[in-house]
Amino acid sequence: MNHHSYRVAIVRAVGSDARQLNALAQGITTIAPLIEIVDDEHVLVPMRGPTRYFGGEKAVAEKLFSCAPQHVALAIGIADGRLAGLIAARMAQPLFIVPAGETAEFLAGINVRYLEQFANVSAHTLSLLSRLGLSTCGKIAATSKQLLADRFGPDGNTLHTLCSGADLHPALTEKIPTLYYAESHYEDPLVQVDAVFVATQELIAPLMAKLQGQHLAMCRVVVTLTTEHDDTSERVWYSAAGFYEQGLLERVRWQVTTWLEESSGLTAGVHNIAVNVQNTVPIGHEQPRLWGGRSESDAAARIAIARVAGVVGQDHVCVPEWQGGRDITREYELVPAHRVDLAHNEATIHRVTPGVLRPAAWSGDMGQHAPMQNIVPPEKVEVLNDQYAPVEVTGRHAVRSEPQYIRRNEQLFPVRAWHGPWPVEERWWDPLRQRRVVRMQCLVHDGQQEHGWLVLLEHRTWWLVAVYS
Amino acid sequence: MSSLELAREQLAQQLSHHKYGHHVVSLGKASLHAHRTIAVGESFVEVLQRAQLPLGLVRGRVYQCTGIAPMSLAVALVQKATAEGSWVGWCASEHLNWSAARNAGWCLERVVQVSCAEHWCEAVMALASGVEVLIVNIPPHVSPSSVRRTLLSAAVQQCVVVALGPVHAVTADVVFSATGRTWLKENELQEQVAFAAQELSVHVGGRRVPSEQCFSLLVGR
Repeated sequence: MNHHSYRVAIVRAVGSDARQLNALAQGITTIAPLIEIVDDEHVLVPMRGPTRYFGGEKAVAEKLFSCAPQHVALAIGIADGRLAGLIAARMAQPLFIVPAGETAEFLAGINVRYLEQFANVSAHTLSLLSRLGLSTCGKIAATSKQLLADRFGPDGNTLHTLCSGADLHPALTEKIPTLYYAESHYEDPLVQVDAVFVATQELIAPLMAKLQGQHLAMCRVVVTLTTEHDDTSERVWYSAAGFYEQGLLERVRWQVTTWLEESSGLTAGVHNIAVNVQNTVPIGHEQPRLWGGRSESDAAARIAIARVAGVVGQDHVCVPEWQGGRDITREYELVPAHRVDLAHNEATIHRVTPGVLRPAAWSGDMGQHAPMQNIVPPEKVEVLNDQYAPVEVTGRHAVRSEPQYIRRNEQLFPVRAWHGPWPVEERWWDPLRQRRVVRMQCLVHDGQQEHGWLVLLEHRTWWLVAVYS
Repeated sequence: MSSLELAREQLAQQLSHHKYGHHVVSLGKASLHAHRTIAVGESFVEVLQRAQLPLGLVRGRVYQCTGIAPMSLAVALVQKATAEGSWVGWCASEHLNWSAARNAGWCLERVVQVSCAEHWCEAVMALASGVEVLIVNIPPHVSPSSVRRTLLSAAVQQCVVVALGPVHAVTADVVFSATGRTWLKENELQEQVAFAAQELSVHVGGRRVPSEQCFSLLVGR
C-alpha cells in the first residue's frame, strides 16, 4: 500500500464557532481543495498534493497554522487515516505527526474508548470489548477478523479495519466518479436561505429514498451551490455511518449561512444546486421501522439539536444516559448528543432505562425523596454540633453529636431537622475506584425560608451535593 | 400519518414548486400546532380550570416557576408533556438531578440539555425551532431587550417557555410560585426515617390569569 496516498491532516480548531470554522475552511481551501468538515471542530485535509507542492508535511502544517482565524488555537494531527489523524490532533501540542506506515503501531497502544468519540462505535460495543479484554486498538487488530465478525457482525469487520490503521473511505485526493447525481436549476434565483434549504431538501429526499430502497445511505456527498454570477460554494461532507436527511440538510444550511457571511460571499441568488454522491454504505441496522419511523416532533428536535450544536459546540449539547451506581445524584451522566443514536426509538429508550445498557446491580437506594438540583461541583461545607465542632460519624454509621449548624460560604445556617446518616459503599472490590461515604438530609433555615439539603461525608469532609429545589 | 397531515404534506409538495412555497409550508405547520395545548398533570388541570385558563400549556406562552422550589414545580409542570411525546430542552444553569426527574415521571429519552451561558439567546432561539418545551433561566449578563427578543422568537416558533426563578425583562403569562412546604416522612415506625416527599403550597398568578388561585402539589411520591 502506498501510505502517502492516504495521508491526511486533521486540523482541530479548539473552541471555534460556526463563523470561525468557515473562515478556517476558506483559508485551508487555498492550500488544498477537497477538504472535509468533519464536525464543528475538525477539518480533514488530504495531504498528497499539498505535501508535494510545499515540500513536506511540516511545511504544509506551517501553512495550515497560518490559516487560523483570530482567537482560535489550532492543533494538527497528521497520519495515514482519519481515525489516527483525529487522535493525533487530540494529542497534538500543537503538531503531532505519525510517520508514514507507522499508523498501526501508533494505534496499537490507544485505548478503545477513543473509538466512541472518533469512530461512532457504540458504548455497548465498547463495554463488551473491554469485558473481552480487548482494551486497546492493538489487541483488536491482533484478533482474527473472522472472530470479530462472528461476535460483532459487520461492526466487527469495521472495528478490525479501523484498528489496523486503514480507513473505511480514504480521503479524496482527486475527483472520483459519481455514483448518484441530482441537480436542480432555478429560473427565479433563490434569494433566501430558507428557500435554498427547501430546494435542497426537495433534491435530497428522492435521492435518499432511492438509496434506501437499495439498503444504502450516502456517506460522502459533494454539495455545490452556484449563483447567477457563477460564484460557487462546494463542500465535501462525510459521515462514516451514513447521512440521514436532516443531518445532511443541517450541513447544507451551515454551508449557505456561512457563505452569506463571507466578505466575498453571495452577490446574487442561487440558481443551481447539485448533489453528487460519491460513496455509500449499507444501511445495516438503520432500517425504518415497520409501522413508520419517528414522529414529526422527534425529527424536528433532531434538527434543532444539530442546529444548537452549531451555535454552542457539540460537547455542550447533551442528553442523559443511565450509568447506575449507588449515588442518587450520579445515576445518570450527560453525554454529548452527537455521540448517541437519537434517530431510533429503541436505542433512545435503552439509553435511559436502568439495567439495559449496563447491568443494574442493587442501587443502594434507601427510598429517599431524590433532590431535584445537583450541586456541580459539590460545595465543601462544615456540619457542626452545638459546640461548633465538626460532626463525626462512627464506623457503625452513627453520628457522634447532633448536627446543629451548617456553614456554607462563611454563612452559618441553623439545622431545623435532619435524617440519616446512610452509608453508601461503591465498588468495594476495586481498590482504585472504591468509595465509602455517608449521606444525610438536612433542613436548614436562612432567616427567611427553609431549604432542604443533601450533604455527604467523604474522607472526613462534608460536601453539599444536592438541594431540594 | 393522519389524513390531515397527509393533506398538508400533499399541499406542501404542490406549493413547494411555487417560488413562495417555503413560506406556505412553514405557515401550515405552525397553524396546525398553534391551536393545540400541551398536556399537564391532574393537579395542574384542576387549578388551571379554576383559574379559567386553557387546560394545558399553551404554545407560545411564557410560564414562570418561582418561590422556594422552582425546579420541582417546573419538573411537575412538564412531566405530562414528556410522557406524551414532547421534547424538552433544558437551558438553565441549575443542574437537574435526572434520577429525580425520572422519578417524577419524565421520559428522559426526549430531553436535551444545553450549556449556553455565553450564547444564551442564539442557543434558545435555535432550540426553540425544534423542541416544544424549553426550561430556561436567564443569565444576569443578558440585557432585557435581548431576553424579550429571544422569548418572542420562541413564542413565534410555538414553543412553551418555562422560566425558572425571577424574570425581570418580561411579564410571564402564568406564574406558579411555591410559597410554603410541608415535609412528609416515611418509615416512621422503623429506625430509617427519611424525608420522602414534600407538599408545596403553590400560588397561581400572572398577567393572563383572570382569577388567581392556590393549590397543593405533592412532590416526590
